[in-house]
Amino acid sequence: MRRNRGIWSFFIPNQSNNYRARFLHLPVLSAFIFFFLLAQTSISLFALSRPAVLGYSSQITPEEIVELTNSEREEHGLSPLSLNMSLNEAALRKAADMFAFDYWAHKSPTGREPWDFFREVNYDYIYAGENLARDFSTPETVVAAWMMSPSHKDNIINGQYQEIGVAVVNGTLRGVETTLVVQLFGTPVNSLPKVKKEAPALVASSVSKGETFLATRNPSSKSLSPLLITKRVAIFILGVLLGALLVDKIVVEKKKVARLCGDNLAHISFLVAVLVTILLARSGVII
Amino acid sequence: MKRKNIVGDYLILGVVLAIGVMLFLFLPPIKYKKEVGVLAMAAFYVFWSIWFHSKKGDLEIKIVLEYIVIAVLGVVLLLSLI
Repeated sequence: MRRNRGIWSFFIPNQSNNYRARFLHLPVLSAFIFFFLLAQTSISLFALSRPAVLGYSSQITPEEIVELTNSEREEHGLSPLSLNMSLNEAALRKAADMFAFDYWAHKSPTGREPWDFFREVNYDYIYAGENLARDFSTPETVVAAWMMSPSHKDNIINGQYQEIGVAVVNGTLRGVETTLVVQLFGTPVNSLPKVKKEAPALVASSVSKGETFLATRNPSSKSLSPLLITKRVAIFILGVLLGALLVDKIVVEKKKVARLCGDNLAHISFLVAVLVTILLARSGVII
Repeated sequence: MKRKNIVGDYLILGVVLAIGVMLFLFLPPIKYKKEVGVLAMAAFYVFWSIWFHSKKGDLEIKIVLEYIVIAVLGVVLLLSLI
């Protein structure tokens, strides 16, 4: 009886692999996990050693973000926000701070709150809000992501805001070239009728905790997106496993072999779900 | 009847996985929301396998381990996208 050896035993169930494709044996499956984690680590180390080689390409402009934001507001029956140059400046300072101190959060590691940037540009506000986003490629996906999140959406369709400032800045964050989008909302003090000085500031209760980033005007054309590399490695692994599962199932059913193992159809269903998710997933994160 | 039950079992798996995929793709891209979804989908897959094989009468630790490793692989691949 001829025994299949070598590479074929990884796909075809036979006596040498106990009638189960070797790719589906526990040690080999575990090796796939290890291989993928190794690939991820390598990408991260490469990004750290050669910053600005890996990055996300984006075609986002502040004007488009403002336009799309106001479109959303119009759809909800709200008046459009006016572009305020001081808020623009504050947004640019926020983005610069994030790159300078290499953080992805509302609050700077130096302790600066988003509202500190408002004060730095002498923007006295009654209401203020901030949205942040990164790694998006188009303005539509940025605004769509914000609108999908209740807290970010609250900022965009908040009737108390009157003005907006947007910054779109390219830089390197955590070793990866990216595009930050900072969107600031505000209502200046002098927009209201005169109030008594002892009137309480409404900032604390009106501030939305949503954060989204806006991207800079400078479209980046980085050819090596970390997400793309990750996706390709993942798709390769899934392709190999799905192939092995299919061949294994076909051969075993043809040979009518009885064996004790996991259900190939279930594994195929799960891995196809993972594959579909990977193929359709897009880059971009908001806080 | 037996065949109908198996088809029903696969249907449950398919529907839940489809819901998991939709949630991942359409949830706002805020960290932790998607991570929880991925872990829930993987956990469901393992529990489904235990239920499926115990019904089938061939539940073994080796088989459960196989599902756990596949689930972990899926988690690792999906979390890399977040």
